[in-house]
Amino acid sequence: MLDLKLSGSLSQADLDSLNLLLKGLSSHYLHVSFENQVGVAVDTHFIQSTFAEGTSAYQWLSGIAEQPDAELALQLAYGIIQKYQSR
Amino acid sequence: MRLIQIELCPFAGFQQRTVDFKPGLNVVLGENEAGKSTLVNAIKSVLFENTQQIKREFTPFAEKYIPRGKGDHAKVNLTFSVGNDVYSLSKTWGAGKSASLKLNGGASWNDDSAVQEQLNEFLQLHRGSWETILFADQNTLFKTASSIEASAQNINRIPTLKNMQAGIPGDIPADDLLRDLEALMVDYNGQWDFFMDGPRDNRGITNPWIKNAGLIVKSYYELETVRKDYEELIGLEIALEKINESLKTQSANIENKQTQFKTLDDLKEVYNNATRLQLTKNDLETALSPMMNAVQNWDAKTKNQASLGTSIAEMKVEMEKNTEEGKRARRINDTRVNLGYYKDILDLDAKIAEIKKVLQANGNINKADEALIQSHQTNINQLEVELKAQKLQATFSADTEVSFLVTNGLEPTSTVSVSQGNSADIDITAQVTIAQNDWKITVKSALKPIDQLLAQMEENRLALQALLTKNNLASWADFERNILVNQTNNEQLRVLENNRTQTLKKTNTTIEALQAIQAEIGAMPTTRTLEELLEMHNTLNDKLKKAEKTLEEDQALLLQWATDYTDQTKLLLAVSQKTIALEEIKSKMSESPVLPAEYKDYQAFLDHLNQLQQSINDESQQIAQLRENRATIQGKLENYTTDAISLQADLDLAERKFERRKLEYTALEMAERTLKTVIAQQDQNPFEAFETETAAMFAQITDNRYTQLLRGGEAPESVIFNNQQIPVNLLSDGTAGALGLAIRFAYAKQYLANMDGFVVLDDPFTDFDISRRKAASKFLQDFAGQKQVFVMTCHSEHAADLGGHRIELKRTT
Repeated sequence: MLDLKLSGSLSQADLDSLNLLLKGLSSHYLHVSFENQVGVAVDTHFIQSTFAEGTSAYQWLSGIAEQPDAELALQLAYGIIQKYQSR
Repeated sequence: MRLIQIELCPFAGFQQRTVDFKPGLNVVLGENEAGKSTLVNAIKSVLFENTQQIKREFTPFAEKYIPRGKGDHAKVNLTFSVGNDVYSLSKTWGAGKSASLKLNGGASWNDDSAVQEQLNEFLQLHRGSWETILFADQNTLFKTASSIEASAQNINRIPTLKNMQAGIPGDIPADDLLRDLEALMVDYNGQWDFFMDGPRDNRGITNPWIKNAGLIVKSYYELETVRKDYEELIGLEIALEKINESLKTQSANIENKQTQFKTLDDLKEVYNNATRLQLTKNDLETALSPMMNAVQNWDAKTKNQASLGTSIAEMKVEMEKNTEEGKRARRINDTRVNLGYYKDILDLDAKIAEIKKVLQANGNINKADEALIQSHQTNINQLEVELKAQKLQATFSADTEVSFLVTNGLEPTSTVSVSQGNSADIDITAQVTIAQNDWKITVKSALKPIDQLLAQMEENRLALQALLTKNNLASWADFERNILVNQTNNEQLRVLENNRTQTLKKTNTTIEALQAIQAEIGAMPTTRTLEELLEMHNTLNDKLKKAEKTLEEDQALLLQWATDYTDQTKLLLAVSQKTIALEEIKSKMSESPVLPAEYKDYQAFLDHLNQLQQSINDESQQIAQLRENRATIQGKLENYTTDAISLQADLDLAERKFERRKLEYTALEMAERTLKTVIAQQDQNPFEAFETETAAMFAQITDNRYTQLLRGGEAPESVIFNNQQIPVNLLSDGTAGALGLAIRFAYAKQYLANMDGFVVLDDPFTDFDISRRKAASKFLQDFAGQKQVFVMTCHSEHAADLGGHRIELKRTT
């Protein structure tokens, strides 16, 4: 039986790998329960490589990244952007 | 919307023509009048023109698009896609006018207005936007700026676009992000009071918020629910542990007490025997006590009877003496006050006698004489007044010194001397006589009969003098002094006599009786005070009574002893027997077990035993209650599906989740502040992205010859070249065309950012030189990578530069 609680942030590639790993876990255990709060690590490099300069998303995320202790705010803001884009 | 195929059957110069389009760049090559513009107009017509036109609209349409002399209608069929859906659109104008739209394998619309309404949804933009921006012919290309300004009312506005797509294709409008963010914040903060850091209106898990409850308040309720379960479980476990501890302790206690009770209960009978011995011993000791008293005191009390009788007699004699002395003392005491008054009376009598003696010595004037003396003196005084009232004044003047005798009224004769040349004034009372050796002058006042007055005066004087002499008085002054002294003494005498009367009255007796009492008391022998004698009497009386009581008690006791024991010999025998019995009892008692020291007596022992029994009963009940409580708690614990450790883990998790929610909300607040700042900055210039896009495209087409634009209204107003501002209308046709192309594509990029659309251009490179044409071609190729582009050209070299899907049109006859 596996009870897993994850939090923090990873790069998009590592996050994808992690999600892949988690999907495969259930076949190896009798019971798998996990709470996954790991988000993508939204940093300046990520912002610049993901959004065109001048876009609202770029300006918003860059503005948050300039502030201290902005990791959680960045993840939440990125989540809102992702949700909007997936509509 | 992406165009797939168009069929003109007929339309304008085409009787029947089908053209297939590809995604990306479609280049329609044909010489002049080959039908390129007709193709564009067919696309426009089928997309925008109603088939149910009024005559005023239909006439020009028919003139342009219904083939002349070859039919009575125009018809266009268009196949297009929206997303993955493919639609077939057909419109006929003129005879048999109709419109239909059909989704392949799906719904269809056959009503003209319904068809147009559906098409407008696919087109999204105003017709003006399409015709002005997206369908660009050569003529308007280089007039783009002014054309856009002229059509500003019909095209979709850039500031509006900003709110649609943030001004940059593919971007998300910041306002949309803010809306989503604020919705998310509401998801978090619903019914949470940040100021109180708790649910709004302090509604806890007993009355939780259901409607509009946010993530924070939900996680709070989860946390509180788990905490409540945890605390209840822990409380039950602690209570169970305490009960087990109590049971252990109380079981041990009751066991000890039961052992103790058994031991003590076994001793109870032994202690009963000891008690009986003790009672017997007590009886013997009680009986022996008076006997021993008789043994010890019989002789002494017998002898004491005689001495007590003597003492009593002596005390009685002494008391008699005291009584006699007491009577005298009481008599003295009773008369002490009156004798004091008597002494005062004697003192007053002495003072009265002394005053009377003084009065006697001073002489007491006869009252009749006193009145006459005073009458004569009064007369003399009145006569003097009358004489003095007749006053004269004589002035003596002398040329030579002269002396003479003057007799002035009643006064004695005196000598008056007047020196030479001087004078002397003399006041005269009624009559004056001036005399010298041989002469005498008498002057009298004529106002009153002086002689009569003088005679009366003399008469009174003589009578007065006679009376004074009679009373041994030398003068009127002596009379007055005598009268005054006698008055004072008489007053004193009167006061003293009054005092004496009052004092005697206080005694309620006569002076003779007082004299007799004084004589009686003075004859008495000296005695002690009444108080002393009373104290002495009381003391003696107490002693006497005590002695008499002792005598009486001893007599009774001796009589009792004689009755009880006959005589001392028999008494001694009885005492001996009882003493032996007592010793035997004591011996038996010394062999018996004794009560532990902590018990005062047997009753205390029994009390303790009873208390012990009661305590055992009480503890048994408590143990039963504890066992019942334990069973209840165990029953409750069995209902729990989890244990304390798991609940502790759940509690930790819920606490972390709750804190995480609050942190997330704080992070959302930070994101909100930042996003509002971004929006405020964007609002400062909503055209910024458009300007940037246009300038970039213009620079790309002109090979970076022009990099900066100045906007006026919806479109660029001038360009900067070599630091000079050049108005758009002064640009060459080629540059103006390049600028128009850039403006249109900047618009197009924004218009088509979130939709599948296309751009139609009619010979856009006509005025371009080769290098600019190639740059523009490259630009169009890039754009066609994202959107469908139709370029009409009659220049094969242009078509060659552009590449793409070639569609060739031939001029028909």
